[in-house]
Amino acid sequence: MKNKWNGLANYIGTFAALIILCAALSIASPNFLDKTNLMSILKQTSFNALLSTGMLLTLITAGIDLSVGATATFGACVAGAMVRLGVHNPIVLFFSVLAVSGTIGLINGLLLTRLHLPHPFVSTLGMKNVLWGAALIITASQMISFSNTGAEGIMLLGSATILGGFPISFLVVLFIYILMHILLTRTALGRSIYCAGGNMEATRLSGIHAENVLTFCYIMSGLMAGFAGIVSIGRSGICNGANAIQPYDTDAIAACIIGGASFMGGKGTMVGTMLGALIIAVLRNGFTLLSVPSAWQNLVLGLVIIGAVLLDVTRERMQRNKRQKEAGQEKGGEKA
Amino acid sequence: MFRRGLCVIAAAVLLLGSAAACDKDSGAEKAGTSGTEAKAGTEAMTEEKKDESSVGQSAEKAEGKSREGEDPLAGADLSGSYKIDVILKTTSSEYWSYVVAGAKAFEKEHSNIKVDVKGASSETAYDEQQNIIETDLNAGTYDGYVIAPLQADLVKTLISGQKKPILAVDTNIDAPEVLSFVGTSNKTAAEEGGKAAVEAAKKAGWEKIEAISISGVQGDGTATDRLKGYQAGIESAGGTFLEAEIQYADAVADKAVTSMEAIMQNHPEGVAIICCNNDDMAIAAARAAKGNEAYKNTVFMGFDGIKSACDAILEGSETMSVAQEAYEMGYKSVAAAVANLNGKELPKFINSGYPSSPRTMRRRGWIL
Repeated sequence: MKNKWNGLANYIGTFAALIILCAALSIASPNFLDKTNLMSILKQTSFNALLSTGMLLTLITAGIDLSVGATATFGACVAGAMVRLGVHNPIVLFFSVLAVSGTIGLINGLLLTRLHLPHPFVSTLGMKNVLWGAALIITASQMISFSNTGAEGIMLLGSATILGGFPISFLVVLFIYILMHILLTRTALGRSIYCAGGNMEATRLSGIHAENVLTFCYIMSGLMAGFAGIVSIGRSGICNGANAIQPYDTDAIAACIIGGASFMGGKGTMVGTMLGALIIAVLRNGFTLLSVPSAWQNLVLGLVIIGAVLLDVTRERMQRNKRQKEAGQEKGGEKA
Repeated sequence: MFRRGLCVIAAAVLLLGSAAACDKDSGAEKAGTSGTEAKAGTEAMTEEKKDESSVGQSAEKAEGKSREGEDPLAGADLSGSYKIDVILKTTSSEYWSYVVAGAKAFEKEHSNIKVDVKGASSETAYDEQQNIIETDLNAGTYDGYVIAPLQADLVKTLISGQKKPILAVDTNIDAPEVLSFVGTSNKTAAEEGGKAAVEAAKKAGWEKIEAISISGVQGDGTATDRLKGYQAGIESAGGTFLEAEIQYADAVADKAVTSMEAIMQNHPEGVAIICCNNDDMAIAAARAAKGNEAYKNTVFMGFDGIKSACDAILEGSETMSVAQEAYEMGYKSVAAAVANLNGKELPKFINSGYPSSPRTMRRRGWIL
């Protein structure tokens, strides 16, 4: 029970930050709390939230996936290239994108676990460039539009709404987040993922096949990026290989870190990541409403990331000091 | 084929420069397709020449020196055996692939000329382009250089003191070493687009003509030029450019959607003109506004006039695009470099024209 309260306490700071941010923006911009705008924020959150899901899994294992943004763009370009070749069935396109993105994740995982590249930073950075080039090659460096091609079905995930404007993309995100939360907290595989991030050697010695666990995380990361790619097709109606170099990965990392994940591994939750993704989307949406130049947006977002990590580190240090103090008192009591 | 030809005309909201080169016979196209209005004309260009003193930018100054009705490369000697280095902003986009195609077409037509085309990996990879230019200038294996600078001032320093012929393409470099600028200026092109957009908005029934720009990367030279051009054009045609509401969307479609959503939130009554930094963004913004009655007649203007934009204009998802003649830029810049190596004196500005010329359309396979 105590652990549960501790866990909730971890979210309170992030949640409070989100509420304060919303309150400040609703004062600054009368349109902020408008229903349509709130729905827009959810739409804008979906892409980053999906990328963050995969990113979180890799961060928990003390790894990283710098290719998530490029995988999403490449996935969208695969769909675009297929449309050009005459494939218009949305289901075929949907599963092709997921198959391709899952395979990219598998390759990332195998590079790390079977070919023993020193750190996923290297392999996924390389993969990002590979995908950037490949996306441009398969689209012949051209932007491809999905409108009026007969493949409009593929755009539904990113554009359709229900119940008077609620985006389906965010519903899918919620569904995925709930599933992933259950996976991480209620299953043996989830515990193995946290274990692998905390101490790889201990994980191996306790009989867990750490390599398979890591590979699973990178496959999931690829799949989630594929989902994000399909959402992006729905939102913009186009795909463009040149976007593979956009810093989507840093936004995903920021969402995870704001949500409590750590580069040292073993930490991070789906709830926290969702809050992180929402904070980023609210910040960007609010600043866009207020027509704040992007230079200021980047500056403030950077400060938020630094602030969140600083808060996390300070809280951990205080908890550690408290534990040490308690242990010291107990020891003193025993001696007496 | 007719569809292709029509789409080019519709997309080509012209270009400027010395009106000149632009054949008066074929010029002044006016086409209306699903609310699309495209305007290309000598009138606008002549006006631009009158205004040249107020523009004050090197590119425009150079344009002013171009003489009307004369092809500066007509009758030039294009023989000899030379190696030309073409360094572009990037080769990884549809627009630049047309410049590459133009340069390579010249090589194909002239077996004695070798053309190497290079480019940075993206239009923000400034260091990469700097390295390419430094390496190639130092290598000394080329007889002439054609450069599309990502940062003109930086390239000006790099080429300082060079003796071999250097031409600027797409974006001018204000340096004595640069013999000629081949292309059009982003600013003047956008200005003409702005004027045409105001006219289109009037025709679409807008009485209060306000415009908001969804720009590219903040601080990027190209984005700034296009932004300033749009503003100047819209204001000179009687529209209101909402400068305080400029949205920077990093030249990406996805972010343009986010910006468009914010614009609709701030302006539920609708906005007459949304002028975007490129065609990707215009198509995405138009898509975001689809279904919003207040934005039914909004003019969504892109930039570049790439093929997919032409299709989007025909489908009605984008209203108009400011087109630059990328293919001709590539072709003419290499031709000019060779002509200069054979002793031809070049004017400071060579107009690359605009994409309504049947010759270009045939080359691209858009018409037979």
